[in-house]
Amino acid sequence: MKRPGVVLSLLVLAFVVACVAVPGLLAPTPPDRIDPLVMLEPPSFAHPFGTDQLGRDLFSRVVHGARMSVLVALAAASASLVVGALVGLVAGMLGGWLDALLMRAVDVLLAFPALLLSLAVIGILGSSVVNVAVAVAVAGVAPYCRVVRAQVLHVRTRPFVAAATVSGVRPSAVLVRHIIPNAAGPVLTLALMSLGVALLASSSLSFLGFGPRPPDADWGTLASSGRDYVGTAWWLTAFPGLMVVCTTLAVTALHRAVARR
Amino acid sequence: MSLLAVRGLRVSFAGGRVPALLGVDLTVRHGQTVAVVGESGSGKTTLARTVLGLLPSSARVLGGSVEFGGRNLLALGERGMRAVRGRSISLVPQDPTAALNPVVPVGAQVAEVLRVHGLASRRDARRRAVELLEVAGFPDAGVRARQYPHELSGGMRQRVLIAAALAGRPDLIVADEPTSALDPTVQRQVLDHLTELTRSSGTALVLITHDLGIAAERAEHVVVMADGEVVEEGPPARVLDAPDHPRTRRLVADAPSLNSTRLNSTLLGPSSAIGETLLDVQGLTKVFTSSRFGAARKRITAVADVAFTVARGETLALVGESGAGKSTVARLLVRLEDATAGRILFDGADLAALRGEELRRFRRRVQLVFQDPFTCLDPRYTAFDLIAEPLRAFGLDASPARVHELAEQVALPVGLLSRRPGELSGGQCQRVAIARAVAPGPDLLVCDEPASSLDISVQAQVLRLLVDLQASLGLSLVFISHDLAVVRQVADRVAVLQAGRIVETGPADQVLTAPDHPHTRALLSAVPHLPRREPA
Repeated sequence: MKRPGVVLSLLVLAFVVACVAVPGLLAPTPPDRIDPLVMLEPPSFAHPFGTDQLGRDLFSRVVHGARMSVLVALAAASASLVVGALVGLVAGMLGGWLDALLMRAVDVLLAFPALLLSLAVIGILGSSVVNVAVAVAVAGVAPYCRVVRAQVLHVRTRPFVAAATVSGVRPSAVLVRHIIPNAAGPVLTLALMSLGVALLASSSLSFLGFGPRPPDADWGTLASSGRDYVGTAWWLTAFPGLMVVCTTLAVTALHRAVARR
Repeated sequence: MSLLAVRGLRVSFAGGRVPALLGVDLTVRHGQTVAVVGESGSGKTTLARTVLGLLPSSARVLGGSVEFGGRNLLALGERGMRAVRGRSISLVPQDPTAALNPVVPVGAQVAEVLRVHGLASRRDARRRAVELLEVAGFPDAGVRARQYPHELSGGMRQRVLIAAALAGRPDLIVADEPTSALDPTVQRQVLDHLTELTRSSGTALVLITHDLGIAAERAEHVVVMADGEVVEEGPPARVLDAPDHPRTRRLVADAPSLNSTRLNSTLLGPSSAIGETLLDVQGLTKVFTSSRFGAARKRITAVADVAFTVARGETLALVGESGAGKSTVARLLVRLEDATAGRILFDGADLAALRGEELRRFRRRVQLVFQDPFTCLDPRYTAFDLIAEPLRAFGLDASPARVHELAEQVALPVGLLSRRPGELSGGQCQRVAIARAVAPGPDLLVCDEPASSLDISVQAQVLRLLVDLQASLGLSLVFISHDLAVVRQVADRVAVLQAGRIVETGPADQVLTAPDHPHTRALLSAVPHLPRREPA
């Protein structure tokens, strides 16, 4: 056990993945079963995370909410990766005025705080789960453009790229066989980190009320709906929030471990 | 009495699993210059680092002693060694660029040595640094001291480090390959300064080098290392002229020298007949234009009005210092760059006219061997894939049998084909690169310093391989090198480049023995000379 941090992160992520894959197994109580007898109960053996104002089991709601939270974050991070990688690749390979244009556009994106940008996108598109993912993806695309472009510019000048050209390899094959694989490392590391950022961002948007509609709930909406009872039932905001924090921390810790290697 | 006495020193890496030094003895007297020679991996640098207490954390000293002026350095610990380094023993490192802090003026870096050892006050140190730089060969030391490393040339940077090494008036300087990153003419200047300064100040010098010529010229005592052991030592005239140990004999035999003759193919005997003109270069010019927003465009002429021809089966050597435009010519010949002016006629066809698919097909006939075998191979692929790549690209037979045949042609063991470049040695990587180059069956091979990053003995093997391949495949070679001793072994004709222009061209025998142009003479006189008996 040389690296307890990495082991702990993997355990947290294993729990989150289980929540996403088989929530019914972890929390047999249906998340939307209303039980007026146990309204606003504090954490107990029967209800490890307590119950909400309608007597619903919070643990079950958190476990079942994982799927929405994680899938939205995954979709947003993947969309950022794909779009950002394409833009970065085009800018890095073609250069010239197109490169200048794309990079200035990226500068504009970076000029706004990420959350503000996401809110603007939601303001234009309207609020829905899909639009939350789109909004988070737009806010997260700029770092990928920058990193991919820098990697491509660096790898392009490596002698083995010239060597492949001299060996008669077609330009498209040079790109696919030599440039992309050698540029991918730092980009994939960045992807891991931005997954954590995307989870935090999408949860924030849900918290602000742009996420899923009741009775569906992800971690952000759960924390948000517990706000009214924060003085009397702390567990309603604490546990969903804790899940966001722990998952983000675990992903970030893993990113650091991978990046250091 | 001896100044430094290393006794039975044993060092190993990776927790004792990789032995580096197996009981090394080394004695250095006051004011003596001792050369430690050997191939890379022989343990010379590990020896130097142990003496300086600069071993990496993965290394362990398993036994032996390092006595310096009566004290055992191994028992001093890091704190104690800090007082010794720079004050009593100092280091002139291999790469002057990596060893200087890029954001501090060089004068301050020399002064730092005086300050940390409490040898001078802040103001005094600054003044002394200027004096030291003056002694190290900077006539305008006052101006230079305020300059940053990037404003100085490689040779100047190394002289700054020599000034820093001498600042604390040490009793011993350890110079680890101090000039292997420098041009031959600059190398000579730097070594002159180093040996002159150590002699006049009575400082002892341990000169670590793979270049036997330098050892022969500069040292009073030569120590030959191989595989972590001292295999032979004595005065240079004895050791290098009449070596006892087989490893020393091999080192001496592999060292290129101006006295040697052109290598002939071991397969076909003396070089095969030279045919009609294959490559005709006329008025070749390359101007690089820096295009930065706002700044005035700067034009740099890398190659100016260069003309030469290469016949079938012939080797033309392009020689010159770094920055002379040699590599640019190589890149122009394989169309990695487009010429600004002039023509390159290959077998009668103008290269500049080729576009797209036509250009790609042309590449089959002209191939390039790069300088650094590690960086010219994509680290993600195996040797097999790398050799098969050009075959597949040109739609040739890329069967395992053909790849194995190519591997055998370049004397690369077939068992190594499943390895990636990171798991191969420099010489093995260069064999893979050469196999790639000859795979499509070219007529012309452009070799850009193909052996300069390799050990002497590996270099000799690679040169022999190129000569053999040339004979068996009927190749023409354009051989680019700064090392005239290497050129002597492979070239039929020589063209000397200076600042992008050809200043002299002619048959190798003539240019290398009776040069016309002063620049050629300067290059020739800078080659360290190895005393050698006529081959028996």
